[in-house]
Amino acid sequence: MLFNSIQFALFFLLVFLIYWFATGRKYKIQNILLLISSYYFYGCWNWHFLFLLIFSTGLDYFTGLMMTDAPDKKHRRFWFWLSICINLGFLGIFKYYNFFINSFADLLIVVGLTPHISTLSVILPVGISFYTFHGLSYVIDIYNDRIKPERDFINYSVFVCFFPLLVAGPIERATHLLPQITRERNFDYTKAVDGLRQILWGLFKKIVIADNCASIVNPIFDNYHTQPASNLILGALLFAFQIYGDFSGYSDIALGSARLLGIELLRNFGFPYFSRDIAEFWRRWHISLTTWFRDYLYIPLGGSRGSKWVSIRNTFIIFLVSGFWHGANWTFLFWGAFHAALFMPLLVFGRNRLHTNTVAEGKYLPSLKEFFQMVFTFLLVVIGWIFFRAPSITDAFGYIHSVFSLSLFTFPTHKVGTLGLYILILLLVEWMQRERKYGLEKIENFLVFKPFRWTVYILLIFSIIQFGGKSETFIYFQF
Amino acid sequence: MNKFINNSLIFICIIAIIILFSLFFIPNKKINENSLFANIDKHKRLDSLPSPKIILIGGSNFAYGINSKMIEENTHYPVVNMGLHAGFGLMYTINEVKDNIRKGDIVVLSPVYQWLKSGNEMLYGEEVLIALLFDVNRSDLRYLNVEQGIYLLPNTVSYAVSKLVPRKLDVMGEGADWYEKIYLRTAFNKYGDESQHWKYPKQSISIGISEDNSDISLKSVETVRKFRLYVEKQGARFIMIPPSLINYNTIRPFANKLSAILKQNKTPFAIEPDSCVLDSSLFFNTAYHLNKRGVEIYTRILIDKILE
Repeated sequence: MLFNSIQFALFFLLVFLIYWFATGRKYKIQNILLLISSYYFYGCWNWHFLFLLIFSTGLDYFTGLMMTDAPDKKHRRFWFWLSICINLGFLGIFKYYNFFINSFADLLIVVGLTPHISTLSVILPVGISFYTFHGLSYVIDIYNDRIKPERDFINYSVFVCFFPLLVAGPIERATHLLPQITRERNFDYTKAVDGLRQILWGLFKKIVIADNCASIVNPIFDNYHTQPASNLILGALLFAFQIYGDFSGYSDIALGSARLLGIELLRNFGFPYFSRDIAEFWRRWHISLTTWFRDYLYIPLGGSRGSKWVSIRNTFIIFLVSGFWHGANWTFLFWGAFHAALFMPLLVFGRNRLHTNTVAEGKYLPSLKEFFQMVFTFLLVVIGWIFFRAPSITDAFGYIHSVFSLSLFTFPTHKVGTLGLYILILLLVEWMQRERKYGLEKIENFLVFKPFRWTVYILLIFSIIQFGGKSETFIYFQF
Repeated sequence: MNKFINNSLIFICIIAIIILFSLFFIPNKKINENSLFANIDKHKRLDSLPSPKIILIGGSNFAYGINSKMIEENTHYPVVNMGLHAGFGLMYTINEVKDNIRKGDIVVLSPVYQWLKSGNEMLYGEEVLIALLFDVNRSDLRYLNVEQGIYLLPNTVSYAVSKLVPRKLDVMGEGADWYEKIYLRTAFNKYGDESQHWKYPKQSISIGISEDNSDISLKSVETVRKFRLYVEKQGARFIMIPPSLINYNTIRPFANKLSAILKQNKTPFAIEPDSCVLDSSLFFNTAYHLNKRGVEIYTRILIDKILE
């Protein structure tokens, strides 16, 4: 059940109506409803993996309690590591087993041996990376005495399985989400309208921008050998908008849906393509994952408290792990390493926190310097996306190599007239709203007259209906 | 909460009104007098022909693949070719002729394979059916049932919006000079065959290379079976023949499965699908549309079956 499907719209409408009208606004009953809906939502993908989800939830719930009730530190540590190992074990088996086996086999071949290794025919359970990280953060926070364990299993299960964030995040923290689950939720008109607006903007980004980009990007990347260089440039640029529209669109729909149910989720995107350097890009792209790695890996490793060398080492580890989190492929590792390499000069010269504010704050236009900084950063990110999108490292380098030909100076054979116009609209709207949380937030401030606002909504809805590309699944579901 | 519900309902009503207005009152100039309007002429002929008659039912495979005059001369039955567009879907294509089937008639159905594939929408129809029903022949709305209506709702909305925010309606694609001449109402002869393209040379045709191993839509098969029973109950003869095929290798796994299931349902093809495989030189611009020579050969196959 995709967020951009009629099935989800009907499902959500039903949940919304029961949630606010048939539960007596009692949060415990609402939580039971959310849990049943979330299991149904997940079961629509593959009901077999519901058992894995329930087991994973039960494991972390149980170890959380056991750690708190443990008689001594030794027992506490035992339960902690048991949870960590099983969680990472599942992730390893379902996501990385075949990658390691194949890589090992390749290594043996390189040294002249003939390996007889069989791979497993495993299907990646959708959202495993996301809900595993939810559980891990919960267990780690309890172990570090940052939170008390949740003793109500339903409440805890809703924290892990809440359907808007179950399959592609944002990766929530117990400190942020659990308190909202364990208290009364009141319907707030302003927030509900805001939620609908964020869903609308998310659908626009996903259906109009990302899906239409995909219809051009896919054939270019699949047949890059035969494409003129101008098409390859176009393909790489459009993939940047595809993945942004796809993932940030998903996040907007998730945040908007949750807000309609009275729950605030963590922000996941902060207009990353308006970043002035790579460090700023990473403060604005997939924020919930970046901060997760910062809090649960970078800081425990020592963060930037030690020597410069330790700081560089830790940063490199974070980028590699972040790349590897995305999938079991050398391309993702290379993508992580590429970004680490871009980040290092900033870190070494102490310029990684130079741009912590919003670009051109309080102004309509950026300075020329800021403009070129944004364009340069965007182009670096686009190069990275080639590695992210290509099926192998060889293909990624082949793609880049093919760009350097005389056909670079021809017109692309793909026409992007209407799509280009919509990308321009996306950039303009987000530029104007860059100091807010998403594209349409507080639109009433400059479209005061309600009919004008509604006209904008109707035009967006008609654009979604009219220019919706072939419906594609969300890219981040595979992670 | 009340304010939220009220505003939501008002907003939904406004959108619904805009969509209904567009659907019923805004003309679609893009399809003006194109091949979809041939549907009106076909219905006029269907209503006017006395029984016994031959009714040909299919998609564009029949519109662009049959010489009805040849059939009429060989069988001495008056013929009407109702085939026009696969996007009308199996249900509509069958329902639009049902009222005119009489004792002694011969009903020939040639279902395009997409209608019988599981997991696609071709049983119910596509957006082009909405264009037909709202901007060509509104009286045909009576052939829709509730199930189809629900299924076609997204297409209906999409079509209504397409009239407000102009875009090309993908009725028949677009192409060169010849294209503008053959996808017109006037390109059809009195029998309902598109005959203008017979004078044009073969065009390039893209043919799939991967094997089609789609599942069979049991609902579509059941629809065909019920239609056969209906035809026979009216005292008419039912013949089902496979569409002509340009590249049998790709469709073989599907066609074989389909043929077996149709036999199980006692509604078999009158001839096996491989008998309708024709040389690629006999096709015109798609893997379903035949050129003049191809039309003659395929029509001859059909005549032989009718005369059996």
